[in-house]
Amino acid sequence: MTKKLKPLLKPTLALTIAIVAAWLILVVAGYDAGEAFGSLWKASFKNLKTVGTMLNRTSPILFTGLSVAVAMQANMMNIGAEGQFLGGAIVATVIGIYCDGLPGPALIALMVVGGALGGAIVGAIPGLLKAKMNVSEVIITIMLNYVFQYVVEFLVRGPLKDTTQGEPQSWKIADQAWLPYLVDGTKLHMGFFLGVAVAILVFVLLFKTYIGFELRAVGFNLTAAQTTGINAKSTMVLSMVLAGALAGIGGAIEIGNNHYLIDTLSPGYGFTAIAVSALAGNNPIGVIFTAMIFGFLSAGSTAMQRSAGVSATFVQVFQGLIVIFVAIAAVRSVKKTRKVKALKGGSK
Amino acid sequence: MSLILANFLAASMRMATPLLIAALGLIISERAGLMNISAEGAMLAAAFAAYALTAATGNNVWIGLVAAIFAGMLVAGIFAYTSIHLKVKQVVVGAGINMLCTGMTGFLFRRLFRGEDAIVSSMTVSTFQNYNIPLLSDIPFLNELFFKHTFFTYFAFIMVAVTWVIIKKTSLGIKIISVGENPRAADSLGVNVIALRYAATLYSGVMFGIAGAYLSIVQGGIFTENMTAGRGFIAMAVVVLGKWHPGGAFLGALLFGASNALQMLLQNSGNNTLGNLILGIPYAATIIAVILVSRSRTAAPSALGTPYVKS
Repeated sequence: MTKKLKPLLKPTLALTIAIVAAWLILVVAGYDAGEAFGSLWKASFKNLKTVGTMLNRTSPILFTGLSVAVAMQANMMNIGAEGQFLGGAIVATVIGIYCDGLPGPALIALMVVGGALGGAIVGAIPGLLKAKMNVSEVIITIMLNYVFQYVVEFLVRGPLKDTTQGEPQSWKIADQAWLPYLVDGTKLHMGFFLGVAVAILVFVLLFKTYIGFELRAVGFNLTAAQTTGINAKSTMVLSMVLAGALAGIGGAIEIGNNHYLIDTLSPGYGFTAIAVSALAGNNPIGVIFTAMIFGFLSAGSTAMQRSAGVSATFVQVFQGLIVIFVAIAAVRSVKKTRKVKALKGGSK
Repeated sequence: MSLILANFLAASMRMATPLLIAALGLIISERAGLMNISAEGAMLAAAFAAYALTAATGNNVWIGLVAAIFAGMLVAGIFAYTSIHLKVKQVVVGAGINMLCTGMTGFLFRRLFRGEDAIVSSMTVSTFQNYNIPLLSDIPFLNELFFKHTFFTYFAFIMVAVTWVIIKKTSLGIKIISVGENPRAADSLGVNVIALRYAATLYSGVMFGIAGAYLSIVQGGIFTENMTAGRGFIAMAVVVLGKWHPGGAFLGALLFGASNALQMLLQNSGNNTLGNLILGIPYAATIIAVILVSRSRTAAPSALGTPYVKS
């Protein structure tokens, strides 16, 4: 059991250091750190309603986090979960608006499938370019984020614009496609639970199937994987298609939650996802929990601003500290395992 | 009509200036093998430092500029230490630094300059003024494009040439390129890979600092939360679009600047639907450019984003 818990030690330590550092920054700046963290806590765990809000905020981050994690397992740097999320959201919006003859469950299912497809296409582009032309996926994914952000801005001002509204937003999706709240008086919908189920599926795919083994082998050592006969190129593309589909489902779910497309649909879920995945060591099951941490921070940021006067952006300081310390901790542990292997006389 | 065009070109150049300065910094650090996505955060930190110090010193813009350069170097220093020394995944730590900078500037801005819930600070600070170059600024048309700007724009022009000379004509340039292409070979030839990568990153930090200062104490004299709005990422696109060459970066920055200016022009004439699509065009162009470039040969430094482990 201690062996199983050991991988948790470093991230936990890094998380603790980040909390202490954030606390110190608040104290030095003259804020009541206890009050600030207290309001952050209460914003999620005060009652059933706040827990629902927290899980509601976790949903998009869970899907984008899984997206980054799958790509990272194949050593593909997916900075584009943002664009894939929006790609999925666009398709889901169109389906939600125009397929209004379908009954609720079918329509929601179609939106999710459509979202996955939309995201997968956006993810396939950098995957193919990396595999065929060795073009950096970092650059392409960043560019695609902007392309799709501007496509959304265009759609909500042009073709999809709800002309009854002053502000730029799309028509609302059909009423029966609005994700029902599972508990009365809360904003808890199916998104989080679908995310948990998908995370488990992704875990099984990665660690219990041959495809997953190939994917991780390519990520671990590309040359070695190729010499054993793995088709590295198609595996790279597959990882990005999968990553795109996951983020796209997140976008579709968020449309079911928000009821219409808007240009501020994602306040950086794709970037938060990098943090979520890093903190989880790119493990899909871990992502469930780290996404909840970031959902918790996201749900509490405005509460912290209201009651302690601390800028809502302070949550980002906290997130940044977590990512940096966790990333450092991850490197150190890799070094150590290599050294131990070398001492035991294992191969390089 | 020609007045509109001249104004449009001038606006394009104004918008291109910070992108070009940051891109020139990125060219050096990427050529040395570092994939630094925290240019965005560095520029934001610099924009805030410039604003804060200009305000604190009773509108001394020069102290503001120096503060911005230090802020840019500090952020680049964090990136250098974690990615070069600790060998943390560059993209991950870069994303972390961006969050830290967005959060920290927003947090400090609210703490130091804002009342309760004002979106924009009420305090406007001084800005650098335009300097019309004698004689040249009398040339019709070209003057608006090249000769009637702040010294930041002239600095950017000069640095295009300086960067070109460094890369193409000096042994330092060859060392930088070798470190980015094949660090092990460079090391075996006696090049100090680690030191050179540190130097290249800190230099890029200086450029991010100047580019960030442009946003706050050249344009408008204000700071707003997250005011870089992705310009650090655009600078990365400019580098790719320009195939890691300073002259190419100049054209790339101008393309992004022009699309911005065109969007504003359309918005002012009441059409803000198409403008948003136009903003996306340079990004799509960058993707296409990358594909075209890689058809002929790989323009990107081979060791871009890979830490160097001396063995």
